[in-house]
Amino acid sequence: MSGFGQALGFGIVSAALIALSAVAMSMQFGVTKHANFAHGELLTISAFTMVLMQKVTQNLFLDAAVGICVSAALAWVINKTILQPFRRVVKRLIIMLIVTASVSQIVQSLLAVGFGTNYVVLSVPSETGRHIGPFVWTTIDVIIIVLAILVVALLHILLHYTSFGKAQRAVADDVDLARIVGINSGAVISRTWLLTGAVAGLAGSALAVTIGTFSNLLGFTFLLVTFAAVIVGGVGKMYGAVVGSLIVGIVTEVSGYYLSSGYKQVIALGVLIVVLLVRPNGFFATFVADTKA
Amino acid sequence: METPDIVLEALDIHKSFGGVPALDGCSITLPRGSVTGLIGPNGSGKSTLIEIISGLLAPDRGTVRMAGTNITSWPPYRRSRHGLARTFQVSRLWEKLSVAENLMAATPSRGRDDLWRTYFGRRALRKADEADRDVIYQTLSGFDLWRLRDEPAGVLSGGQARLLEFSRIMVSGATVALLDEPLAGVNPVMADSVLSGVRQLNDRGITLLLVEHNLSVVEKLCPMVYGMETGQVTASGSISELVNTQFFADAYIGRSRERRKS
Amino acid sequence: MFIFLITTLTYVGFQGILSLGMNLQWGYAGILNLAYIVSMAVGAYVAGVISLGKAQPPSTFYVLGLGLPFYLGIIAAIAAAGLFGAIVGALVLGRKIRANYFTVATLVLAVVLAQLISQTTGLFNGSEGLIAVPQPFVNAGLTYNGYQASYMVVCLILLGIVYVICEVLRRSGFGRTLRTIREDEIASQVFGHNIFAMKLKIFTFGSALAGLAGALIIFYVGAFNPAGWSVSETIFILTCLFVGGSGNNIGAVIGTAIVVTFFSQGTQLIPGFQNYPELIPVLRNLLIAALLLAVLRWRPSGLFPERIPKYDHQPPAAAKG
Ligand SMILES: Nc1ncnc2c1ncn2[C@@H]1O[C@H](COP(=O)(O)OP(=O)(O)OP(=O)(O)O)[C@@H](O)[C@H]1O
Ligand SMILES: [Mg+2]
Repeated sequence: MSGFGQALGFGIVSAALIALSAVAMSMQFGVTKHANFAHGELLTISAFTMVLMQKVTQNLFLDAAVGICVSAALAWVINKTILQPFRRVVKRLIIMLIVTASVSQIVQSLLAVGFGTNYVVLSVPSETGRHIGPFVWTTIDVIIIVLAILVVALLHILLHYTSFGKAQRAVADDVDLARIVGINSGAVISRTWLLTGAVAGLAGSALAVTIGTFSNLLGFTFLLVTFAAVIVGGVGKMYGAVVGSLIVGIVTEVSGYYLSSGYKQVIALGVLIVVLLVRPNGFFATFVADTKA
Repeated sequence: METPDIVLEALDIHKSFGGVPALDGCSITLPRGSVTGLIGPNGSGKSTLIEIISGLLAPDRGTVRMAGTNITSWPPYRRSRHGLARTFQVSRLWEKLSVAENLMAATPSRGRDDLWRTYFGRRALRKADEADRDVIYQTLSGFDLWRLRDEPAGVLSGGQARLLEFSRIMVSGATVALLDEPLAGVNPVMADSVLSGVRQLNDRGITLLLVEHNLSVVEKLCPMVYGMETGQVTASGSISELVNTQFFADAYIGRSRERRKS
Repeated sequence: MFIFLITTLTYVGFQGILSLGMNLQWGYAGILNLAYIVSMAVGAYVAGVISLGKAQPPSTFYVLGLGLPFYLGIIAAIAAAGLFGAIVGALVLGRKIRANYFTVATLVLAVVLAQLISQTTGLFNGSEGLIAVPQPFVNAGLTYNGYQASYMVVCLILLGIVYVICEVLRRSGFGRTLRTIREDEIASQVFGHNIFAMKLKIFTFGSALAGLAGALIIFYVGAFNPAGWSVSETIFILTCLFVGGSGNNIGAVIGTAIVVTFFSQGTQLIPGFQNYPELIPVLRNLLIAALLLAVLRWRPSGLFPERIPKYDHQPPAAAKG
């Protein structure tokens, strides 16, 4: 039983990590209407920035802050230099998937040129977990869970109570209509990417601190669970993404307790396929229409 | 009493989107060979009704019948093979296919969608192509599109696109067609030829449902008109009969008064 | 130089078949399948375990090991890859899954299957992969160069056959219907086409062609492991297709020849860096992805854009007038 409690505890931490990545992706997917296959690289770049920054300072918070800025900047630059020009010429949205897949390959390869394809190490003070209720968590775990909750709360406030949030939802609902009522959709999309990059960067730093050693494929591998969570939750719905992350995080960790941990990703795929078959638009799809009307 | 021959009927259709009803017990019937009008303010559910009759949306409740057969749960392609065709509020052509190919792909498949016959029954398929040649030629030249036969459909003007949509219906062998605002996106100069296209469809014996905002057009083409408001049919009859009803007061006069106020 | 030419042409053979198969899915029907390379892997593995002898634990672990002749391996590879395509297609093509989600699901599938195969040692020998797969006719008395040249000829002949098969399809009514699905699948349904069945058929067909390519590859290389079918390989095939012109079979083949010669085989001529052997493949991936972006941006229809077939009907009236 305590083993199960521990697995559940890991599941919650892993859900928090996924949630950070998934709320970012869900917001971007909802606004731009196409999946971003380079999402994982936003996480990777932040993690690698932390490794570099460790040569300057051992303060992990500072390292993470720089990582987040770099990731946000990368998201913004990718949108400005590649995605936006493509959006102007491309008729079929599906082409954007190929574009983002290429961007993903390019960033991955550039990182491999700079750092090699082997693992890099982020030194994190070692720490044994403490019992908190039925769970065993390290301080870092607790910080990540708290951060995830904070970020979701902040995003909620940002998206529901600020003019940026309203403009963003208008663009997500209907770009043309938003344009007619005078919203500068280009600027909204640009800022959405900046925000997506920042939150994904935070997810990347948190992931880096949790696992310590990783390669240039860190984010690409994490992309899968992120997709699973976002699709399970239904694209464009922040709370859907959170619930999706909880489902994916807990199911993979708890099943990892029973199966070999190597099959975690397979479980995530299983969850995704089942959801696609049962509810092609995610479990929370009906909620949109409700709030829209 | 003699009932007219009903080709298509939709009975008590309900549909809501996320709890908000778009259709709320809506019924229409199309007598054979008729041109029936469907009018109503924006958002009253006309397009939604057409989506449901053509099978692209499933109703929450209600029945769709074609010549007595219950087709409510049929997929769209099966309805099409049964003789139902439609156009869309915004034209949907296969833009990178040529005008002629747009028609070839709309003719009944006759085995052409069969992978096996593509390789091992080529003679029969060539015959099927031959058999369609005449009707394709006649249809295209009837709509003055023959000279554009090798152009990609994407280059057509709004009006020509409508005529190509009508051509597709003609060669598909449909018996009923649902036309969702065929004048939308058409340059006024072309409006007359589009309207004569509608008449040509009907002259071929195709029963039509015509959604249209312009009442004088509806009056000219449709002896019988349904008026829709907020998902329900609230009036039916000829335009001159409808003019004196509450529907008209609510849907048209009331709205224009509101508009004047704002 | 002779061997370089032979190797390059052999690769053009495999990759050309792969590009033609992907052209069926993407170029004709508009289905973007990021798990395409997995079909190739299925073909390679199945051909491998059919023609290899029994596995020899503790050094190798794999299923079957029938030791059958290579042509049965090829047939089994085509069948298995086709079956794989049919299953994946039946799972995710139907329903009302949007194109976006479909592609996401295929990506997830590709990555997860690669991990699964790597970790399940008993299936296809895990991350080590299959090795020492017997090459057909290798003991028939040919010189090394002669053997390589003959293998190249066989691959090119098969490429030619696949080309004809794809071209017949493109010109047929079936191909036309697929293109309507690519252009507007709603209109396609409304005009009587069962788009799910059509997509499933072409998905299976393309997947089976990838299986054929997989069998040819494993018999040529003699080994196959999960490193050979990462997502970047699908990107590579997409690049070949876009450079040549998607929807156009001759474009697919020529695009493949260009990309394989200059970007894939060509990079092997660059001397490696001793302390960093992976640099070349990394640069290759970088170059390929950049090329794909550039083509999409400035020449999205490729070197050989899809042609619109002329309607070859002379009406009686036109003949008179
Ligand atoms: N897919 C959908 N999701 C949510 N709401 C929808 C959807 N389709 C239609 N609606 C809603 O259903 C109602 C009816 O729309 P519909 O398009 O049928 O009206 P209409 O009578 O065709 O209007 P118009 O004259 O503008 O074409 C509208 O309130 C619309 O917002
Ligand atoms: Mg409408």
